Amino acid sequence: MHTVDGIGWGGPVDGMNDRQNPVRVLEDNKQNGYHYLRLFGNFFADVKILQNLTFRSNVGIDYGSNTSRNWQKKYQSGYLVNDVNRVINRQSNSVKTTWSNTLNYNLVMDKHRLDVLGGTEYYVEDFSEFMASREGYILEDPDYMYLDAGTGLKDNEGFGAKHVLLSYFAKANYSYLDRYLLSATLRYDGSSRFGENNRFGTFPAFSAGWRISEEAFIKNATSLFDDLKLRFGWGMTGNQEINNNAIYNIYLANYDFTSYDINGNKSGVLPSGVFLSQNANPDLRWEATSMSNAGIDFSFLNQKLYGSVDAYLKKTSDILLLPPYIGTLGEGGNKWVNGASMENKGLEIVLGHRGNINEDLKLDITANLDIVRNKVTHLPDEVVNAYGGDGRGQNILGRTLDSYFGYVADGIFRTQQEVDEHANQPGKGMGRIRFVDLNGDGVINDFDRTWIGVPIPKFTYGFNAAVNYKNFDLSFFLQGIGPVDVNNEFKIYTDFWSAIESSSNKGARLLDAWSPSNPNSDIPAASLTDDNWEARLSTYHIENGTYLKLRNAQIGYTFSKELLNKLKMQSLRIYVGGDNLGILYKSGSYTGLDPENPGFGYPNPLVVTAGVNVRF
Amino acid sequence: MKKIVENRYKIILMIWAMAMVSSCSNVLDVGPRGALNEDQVSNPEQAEGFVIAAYSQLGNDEMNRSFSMYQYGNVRADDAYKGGGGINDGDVFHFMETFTTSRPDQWNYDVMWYNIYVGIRRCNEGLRILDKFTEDEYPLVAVRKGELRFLRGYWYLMLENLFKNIPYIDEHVAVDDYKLVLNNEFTRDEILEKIAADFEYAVEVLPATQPQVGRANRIAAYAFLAKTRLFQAYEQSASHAVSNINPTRLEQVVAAADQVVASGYSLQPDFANNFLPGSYENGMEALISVQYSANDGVTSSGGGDTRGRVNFGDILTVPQGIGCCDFQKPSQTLVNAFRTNANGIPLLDNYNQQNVDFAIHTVDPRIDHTVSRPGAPWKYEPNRVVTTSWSRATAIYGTYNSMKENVSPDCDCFINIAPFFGNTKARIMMRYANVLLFKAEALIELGRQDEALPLINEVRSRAAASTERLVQANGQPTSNYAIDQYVPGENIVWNQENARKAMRFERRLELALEGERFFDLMRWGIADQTLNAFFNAERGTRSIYQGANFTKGRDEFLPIPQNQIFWSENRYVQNPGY
Repeated sequence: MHTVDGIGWGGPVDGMNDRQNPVRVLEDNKQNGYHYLRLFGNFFADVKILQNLTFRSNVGIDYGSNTSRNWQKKYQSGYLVNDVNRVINRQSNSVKTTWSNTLNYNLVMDKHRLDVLGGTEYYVEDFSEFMASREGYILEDPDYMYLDAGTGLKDNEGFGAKHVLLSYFAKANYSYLDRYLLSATLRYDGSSRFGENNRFGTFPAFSAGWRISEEAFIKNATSLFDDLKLRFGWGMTGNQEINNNAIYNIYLANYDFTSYDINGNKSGVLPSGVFLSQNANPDLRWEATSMSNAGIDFSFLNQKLYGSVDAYLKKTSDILLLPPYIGTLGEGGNKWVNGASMENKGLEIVLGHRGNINEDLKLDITANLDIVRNKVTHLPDEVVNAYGGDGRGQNILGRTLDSYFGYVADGIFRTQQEVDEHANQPGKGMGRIRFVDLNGDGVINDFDRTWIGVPIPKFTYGFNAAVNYKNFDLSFFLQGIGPVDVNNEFKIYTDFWSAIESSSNKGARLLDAWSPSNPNSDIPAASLTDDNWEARLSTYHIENGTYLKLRNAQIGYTFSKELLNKLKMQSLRIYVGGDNLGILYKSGSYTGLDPENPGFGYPNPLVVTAGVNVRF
Repeated sequence: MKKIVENRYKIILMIWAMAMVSSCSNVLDVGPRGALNEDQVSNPEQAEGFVIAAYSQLGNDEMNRSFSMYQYGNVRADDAYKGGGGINDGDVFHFMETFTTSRPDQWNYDVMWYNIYVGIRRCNEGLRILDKFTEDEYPLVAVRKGELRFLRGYWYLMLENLFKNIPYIDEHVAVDDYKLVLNNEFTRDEILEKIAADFEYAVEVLPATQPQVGRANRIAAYAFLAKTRLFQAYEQSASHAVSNINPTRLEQVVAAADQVVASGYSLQPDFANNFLPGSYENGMEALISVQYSANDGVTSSGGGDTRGRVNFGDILTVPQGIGCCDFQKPSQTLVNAFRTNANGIPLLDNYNQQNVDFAIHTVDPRIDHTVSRPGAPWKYEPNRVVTTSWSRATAIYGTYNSMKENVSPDCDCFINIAPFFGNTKARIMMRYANVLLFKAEALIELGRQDEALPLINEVRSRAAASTERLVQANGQPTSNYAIDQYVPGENIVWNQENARKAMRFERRLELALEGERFFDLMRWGIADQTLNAFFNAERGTRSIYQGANFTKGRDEFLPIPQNQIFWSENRYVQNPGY
């Protein structure tokens, strides 16, 4: 890490790659951080126009400011050298203003209850940012390194963005005897991000509920139910999360990439120009999601068992997308489009139990299980390849969004005979991964790819418990997911020498790589270059990401009143607990540390807390 | 009273609310920030900007896709090894230089393809905008169109020589039709004809000199026209074999080259002047160069530094002794090619049978302008002597370094782009000497080798006169130089076969490490025999070539990037053999 004097930074040596000394990078950047300031609040006026009719005007402001002063220090780390220090100041401001006006009408008449709301909302988001930097500081000291102390090159950047939403909406809730519940909403939302013809989207919704437990035929027959309610709902929502400039034809004067020293002056301000950066799409429209759900809420025997079951069908159409494009378009190929449509089907179950087993022992338990299935249902020609596939007919249609597309690995070659008998696979050899010749043409190439994984778990679940025994309390939360295909991107660092960044540190699994003296290993032989292209996305990298984790737990003790009275305290509790306490289960086939973060070599940080709660 | 006040508030509030409802949707008219639309750029002043932006792309390359063609013209040929930290440092270029593991899905081919089309699109956008103006509105419109067509020709020639079967798109193609333009719509000959048409247009409208040094002029256009016609003369079969050498095209090469020869350009008196910074840049031999700059307000590559538009494409070829990262290592075979016999003539047939020994053998002085070696001065500085520690992976890639694109570390044009070092020396895109050799080549293939002899000798005598700077600290010459002109009957029999051999050898020596070599071999149809002989010669000492093999009919061109076949919805056809 350091040179022999213990002060200078060590650099790469022969045979090592030319990456920076990580300790230097950490040390030289530890003073760099940022300050974030946020101020928000709202003013409103209420006017009672009639007994049941109220008008409210509300103005909300949310201001955020982010400032930072970062330095880049000089360094010499072997042959990696930076001989100029630099300070970079950044400042960004965002102002979000919401102005809403609503009329609210309430009516309670006998057994009827009606609540109607109508109004408008106007939302503006304004963002600006600038950066200023300067080089050349005599001291590398926080008290010295301000922009005006620099003597070298100056640079600056800036950026601005604005977008506006304007909505009209109406909502009505009606209930009869608190037994029959109806609600309807209509929104008419406009966004500055869409073209004139498609600025507004209409998004209706309604729901109905029937509290069966309030019906006489139940109430009179049994006291089993605390609550039993059937629900049904249908609604649409819109999404406009795209670039503010998405609909426009855009030419940019990006000085860095359009300037040129046409005069041969070698320095100074250069002549510069513009380039086409984006093509207009005046027909861009809101992405819309419609969702139908039916559910039941229940609670039995004074919450001995309570919970809910929901089934839903969610259809999203015209998904907004900035698709990659063919290379011949150069820089001018960007165009926002309305892409695929998809469908999510799901079932959500929540069960709970609350009860006192005896005077000293109390329990509160909930468990949940969610099941979702996703499928792309429509794929316009324009985006037929934007979601993966081979460009020859295999595409995402009918499959789960973001499914993996790649090669099928079939173990490794263990004998020369296996190598010889296999199809023509460039780079094949003993100890190398064998890829399946899916189309049987005797060559392993692009035509041998298929869909190799679904990135959505079969199910997810959680279990929450709180137990009180005398003065002790214990709570914990378990969370887990069922079988899911994850792309263990970190395997490229743990299983291969040369699939990426060779001559750098690798995982210990590589020590068990196949070799003639270790012929049973499933890890391919270490090689100087990735001739067999094992870094390609294949089933070798796709693993089962199932896990069950103890997300958090806490144990506490509350002191008795008698003791506290002597100490003149109202309450005193001591506790110890923690977050990310451990992976209780993961699939045996998962080779990394944490299947929740398959592209990351570090586990979630374990946090242990201990504390005392005192009230006087 | 109170009631009235209350009512007044109510009324104000209601108006307040009404104001909002009626202001309605024009509040949603929010134009883009910091961007322009087509109307705003469609005027003569902004149209100039499209031309500048098109030139800008010449210098918008970077280490992994160098427009100097050092990877594709030198490393891929027998002139240089990839270099760097090891065989896997930039492994895609190792696959490329050994051919057997080269794949259509290598990212480096895709980024090269894309970034050349960025250059083409900038030209096409500029031409589309310029078409809106008359000469009255915009007096320079024809000249600027000529410059854009020159640049478009430059990009297409680069692309055509890399990939062969390419989609050709001009300014008249609608955006939505781009992906429908196929890569087998035109033959190589037809595409070269279109490229030649761009240069012919440029020749018609460009002035002989331009007031600004960076702009293309008529002479540069003639030079590129000669180059295009020369490639076009060697007609290729579908499997890249030379099927015919077209004499009409050769005549066109001679005609275009004659225009360059008749211009005010000429050879530099000293070869070194082409590769030195400062007042030597854009000199009498440089028909057009890529202009680099520093302290120009440009924040380069990811906002990391503000050093400017330096030569990012060649930034990795600086040796370790003065910077980073020791890529482009000249090959032993190239070094051997500089050996001369006692008469100062290269060993045309058996130069590679023995490694040159600088203590004993005589060499062409151009070697010490082109290749550095331990014990010899770096870049004409007698007191800055290269050592083996300047090289990074000596066991793999040896101890030679490339000098033409590099500078002295004392030059204020040597710029630290931490942790790399670039420079701002203009890179010559077309050198007068190259044009002389185009003409010599065309004449020889036309059977007029006697007319080619003085051209080759002109290049050789300049080389012979370029020893003044090649001295050590003790005043002695860096190497034992012996170089002479070809004198028929005395040191060579000047028939067509020998003239061809001498001309090809001369191109190699004169233009070594300038990005030309592989494309020369491809044009001549001898890439397979030359490179396989090279692998056989070097395999014993250079382990990187253990499995190397050039497959005739495939490796003359890169594969069409798999990614582009994908985005074409499988309309593009892969090159043969891949």
